Order: sequence, then structure tokens, then C-alpha cells
Amino acid sequence: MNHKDRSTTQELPEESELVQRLIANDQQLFMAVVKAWHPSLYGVAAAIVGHSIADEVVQEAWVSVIKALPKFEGRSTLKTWVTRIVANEAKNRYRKESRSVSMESVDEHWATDSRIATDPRFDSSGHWNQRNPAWDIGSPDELLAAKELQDCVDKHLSRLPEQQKYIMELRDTAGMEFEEICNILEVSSSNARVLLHRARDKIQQVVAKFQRTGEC
Amino acid sequence: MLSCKHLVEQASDYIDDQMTMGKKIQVKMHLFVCVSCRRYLKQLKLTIAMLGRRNQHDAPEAMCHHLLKEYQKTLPKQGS
Repeated sequence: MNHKDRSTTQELPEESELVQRLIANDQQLFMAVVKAWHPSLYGVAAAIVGHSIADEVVQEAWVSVIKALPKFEGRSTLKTWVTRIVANEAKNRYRKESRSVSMESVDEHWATDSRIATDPRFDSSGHWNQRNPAWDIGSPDELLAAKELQDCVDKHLSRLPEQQKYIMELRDTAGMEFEEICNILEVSSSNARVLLHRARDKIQQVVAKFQRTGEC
Repeated sequence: MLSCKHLVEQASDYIDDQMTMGKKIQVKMHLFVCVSCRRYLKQLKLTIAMLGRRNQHDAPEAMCHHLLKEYQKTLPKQGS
């Protein structure tokens, strides 16, 4: 798995030095790693078990990592290995909590003509009904700075079906590869891609509407 | 030629590079002539970038403290 690292790992030493120093009890480095990797590890845990116990899951996973670190063989990067341990811990917790959400109950027929035919953005021949207007905002930071828009996005994210939300968090927040996401959530790659696009497209439409009308 | 609705349907696959070369060429040809779809793709990429930067959750202090204790306690024993 190749992680898109959105943390501050550039300040951490390169892989082999990192592993050696962590095994050699470099406490300052250990703390730096815990803090730098937390956003993405939290994203993985939250995608599987929800936000309420995600920190707890990450903490438990780190305890396992600490115990197993001297046996780390370097078959993947340390971060990939830690991420897998977090995902496994989260999956175990998920099973224990016996949550009723089925990760496999995916509507495979979303991307069919029947759904798209009713999409008001397009006419019967599949062209845009109206020219898609450009957005005033040109960077993610500008989008993030617009408080009302973020409140609106929050509202719509909370309404997304859980499977869509999980996959979007794993892919777009935690930066995981599809193969890894499919292993963790036990969904097929085609289903994962359909669900991911459905979620992203929904949020794009939320932002587009806000840009157009200033309304949520 | 690929319609706008089909391009929109496949936009994430295009962005994530989960598409065959043939499909990719069809998408590129469509984008060359369609301003609305070019904008949609740009907007979807912006949306994804925004989602990636939201809810960046810092490690709680209590957790860091607990883990540091575990690290101090466990690793010297196993590393020696």
C-alpha cells in the first residue's frame, strides 16, 4: 500500500533509521511519529468503527505495535504495517460491537441509466441541461475557510449512507489504496469505486449548489 | 462519443487512475471539447482535496502520555 501522506512525516527520518531508532527506544521520535501519523490512523479507525471510539482503537493498536516492533521485518513500510494493525484492531472492535451495518449490502446498479436518467443535471441525451458554471473558489484551502459551506458539507456528510462514508474516509481522508480498502471493508473493488464516486459526486453537488445560490 | 452523464459517472475512476487506456482516451477526447465536463472534473478534484484536509484529528494528550509510558516500559525489555 502506498500511503499518500498528509501528515508531517517529512520531518521524520528515512525508513531504516526510523525503525532502528524506534526499536532503540528513541522516545522523542516515538512521540513525533504518534502525532504525525495520528490523522490518517484516526481516519482509518473512524471509517470502520465510527468517531466515538476511534482514538481508543488507535491507542490499542499502538500498544500492539510497541510490543511487536522488535519483530518488524520491513516487508512493507512501517506506516503501512502500523495502518494494517489499526485496521485489524478496528475490524475486531467492529465485530465485537456487532454493528448491524452490512458492508456488502451495496446497490450495484447505481451507475445504470435508470438512476442517471433521473439526474436533473442531464437531458435525455446525456448532455448537461445547463452549462456547468465555474466556481469562484479555486483552492481547497479557500473551500475550507468558508465556514458556512463547511457546516453545509458536514450536514450532508452526516447524511451519507455509512458504506459511502467509510470508503470516502479511507480513500480521501486516510489516503488508502483501493486494494487495502476492499480488504478492510470486504467489498469488491467495483462496488467500492461506485460507492466512492457516489459520495464524492454528492459532495461536489453540495458545494456547487452553495457556490451558485449561497444556500445549503 | 462519451456523453456528459457517462463522463460524470466515470470521473472518480479517471481521477483515481482506475480506467483502461481506451476509456481514458475517450474521456480526454470528451474533455477537449466540453467545458462543462472540464469544470466538473476540476470541481470534483477540488472537492476531493477539500475532503482530504477536513477533520484532521490531532492525537489526544492523554493518549500520547499513555503510549509513551507503554513504550518506555515495553521496548527496552524487548529490545535488549
